[in-house]
This record gives sequence, C-alpha cells and structure tokens, in this order.
Amino acid sequence: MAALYAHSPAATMRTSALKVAVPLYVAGIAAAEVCVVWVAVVPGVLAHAVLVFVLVNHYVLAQRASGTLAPPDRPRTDAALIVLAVVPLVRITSLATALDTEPVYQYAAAGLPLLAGGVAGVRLLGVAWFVPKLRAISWRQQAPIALSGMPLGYAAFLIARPEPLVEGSSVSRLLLAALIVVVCTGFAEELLFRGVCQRGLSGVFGRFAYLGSTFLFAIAYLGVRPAGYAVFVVVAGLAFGFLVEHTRSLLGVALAHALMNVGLLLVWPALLD
Amino acid sequence: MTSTVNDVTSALLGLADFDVVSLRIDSIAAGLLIVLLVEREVLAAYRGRAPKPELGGLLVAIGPLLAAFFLVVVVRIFDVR
Repeated sequence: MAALYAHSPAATMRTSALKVAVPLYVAGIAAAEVCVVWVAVVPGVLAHAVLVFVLVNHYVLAQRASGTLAPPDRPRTDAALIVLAVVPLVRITSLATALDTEPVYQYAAAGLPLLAGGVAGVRLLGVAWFVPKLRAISWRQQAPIALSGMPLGYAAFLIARPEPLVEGSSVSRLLLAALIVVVCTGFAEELLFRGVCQRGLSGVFGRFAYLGSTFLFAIAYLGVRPAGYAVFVVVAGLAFGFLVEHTRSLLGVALAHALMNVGLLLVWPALLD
Repeated sequence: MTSTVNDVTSALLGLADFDVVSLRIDSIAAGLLIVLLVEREVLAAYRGRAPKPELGGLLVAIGPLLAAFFLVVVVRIFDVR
C-alpha cells in the first residue's frame, strides 16, 4: 500500500498542493490572531470562525476527492487541513468562555473545550499512535524529559513573575488548582499541539512537522506578556516537538509542560513573592 | 500565561462593555457551531452514511465549540462565579 501511494501521481499532486495551501492558511490564522491581540477582538474572532469553516470544508472536499489511499506510517495528507483549525478554535473557545471569576477557574473553563477537541483529533488521527503500550514506554528516556519541567518552571517564573494563581494556603484549593493547571494547560496543550497538530502535519511535512506545530503554538502565544516569556515558551515548545518526533511519545513532554506550569503559576509565586 | 488564558483574556475582562463584547463573541461561536452541526446532518443525509473521516473532521471543530457552549450556558443559568 505504501508503494502504491508513493507512486500515485494524484497523491503526489495533492501533497504538493497542500504544501502551498497550508502556509497560506497559517498566514491567515496569524493575521486573525494579530487582529485579536492588537486591533479588535470581535473582528479577529469572526476571522477565526471563517477560517474554521473554510478549513473544515476544504478537508471534507479533499476527503471526497482523495478516496481511501494513505501511507500506513503517516496520517492522510488532508489531515493537515483539519489540525490547522486548532489555533482558531483555541482562540474562539477561550474567549467565549472568558469568565469574570477567579483566574484558576478561567483556566478550567478555557481548557475543557480544548480537551474535547483533542479527544476528537486523537480519534480522527488514530488512537494507536497516541496511546502506546505502557511496556513500550522507555521511562529511562521519558523521566528526564518530564523532570525538565521543574527547572523550566523556575526559569519561566524568573522571566514572567506572575501573581500567585491561588490566594491563601488552603491545601485543598492548592490541589484543585494544581489539578486544573496540569490537565487544562499542560496536558491539553501538548495533546493539541505536539499530539494532534504535529501528527496531522506529518502527513505533508514528514519529520519536519514539529516546526509547523511549533509555528502554530507560537501564533497561539502572541497574546502572552511579557514578550520574553512568550519567546521562552515557544523555544521550549520547539524542543518538546523535537523530542516527540524522536521519542514517539507525548508522555514526557506532557508531564514536563504540566510541571513547568505548576511551578510557574503555583509553586514559585507562593515561595518567592 | 498560556495560549488560552493570557493578556487578551485580561484585556477582554477589563473592557467597560465586556458584556456586549462577550455576547458578540458567544454569538459568533454559537453561529459557527450551528452551521457545522447542520452541515454534519446534511452530509450524513446526503451520503446516506458519510465516510468516517469526513464526520471525524467535523467533530474536531464541533467538539470544543459544543463543550464551550455548554460551559457558557451552565455559567449563565446557574450564575457560577
């Protein structure tokens, strides 16, 4: 099947067309995000909504045209179209669920829709890739990656110096906040960007898909201040993408991202400020 | 401090007309959700039984929008603050 796919002129043409279309869509997504961050929120959200509609329909039409051929080790090339909708969906849902409430609940409200999108993306791209057999995971490899989240969290805190996410010292509130930060930021972002986006883009860009997913990640972080912190997170995201490509596991980077955010938002602000 | 909750969220929450702007954003999200749900039904009806990848692609967009819709409805009905 792989050979049949590789020699199919139609498949080659489709991949070439997507290599042009994907950067154009990414430019559109970046423009919509710039509008949200620096120009006006509502027109920017409207532009994101139009992009989601166009991407979804391009994907549906491409599915009909392409039939069922796909290489066995990579997702269908058309999947790149649907994973591009992740950033517009992140922005639409996070602003639609913006609550005038305690910050920690904002993270929960914004993160839960993303998890729903992540689960749908995993189902679309194949559960087998995302859920490796536990015995197949190399803990010797993944544990250092996961633990890198601790120094990363400290470095992120030194750059960003955020206010503590939770006031007071109630253990139950701290544990709830930690659970929300771990699930709704660390795991959700890694599932979407290093999981769904990177896997979806690999059908078109192969082993360099992590550069594309990092670019999408950078667009999603345009609204983060200070700018130095945004640059720091994007560089960490690039390293995470590279590690996922070479270790074939999301586990280490998801734990690292979760530890980094717990340190940044809960631990270091409480200890040092 | 993340892709979801950042300075854009703070700026939105700090707007004097937050309720109006928030309603507009919610309306755009709800409109997109309705269009995608209708499209899914039309696609399934037109194709008899639409191929899985097509519906799966629609669900990637429908899933987060539907979850956000229920969250917003719950927050507004029960005034969870």
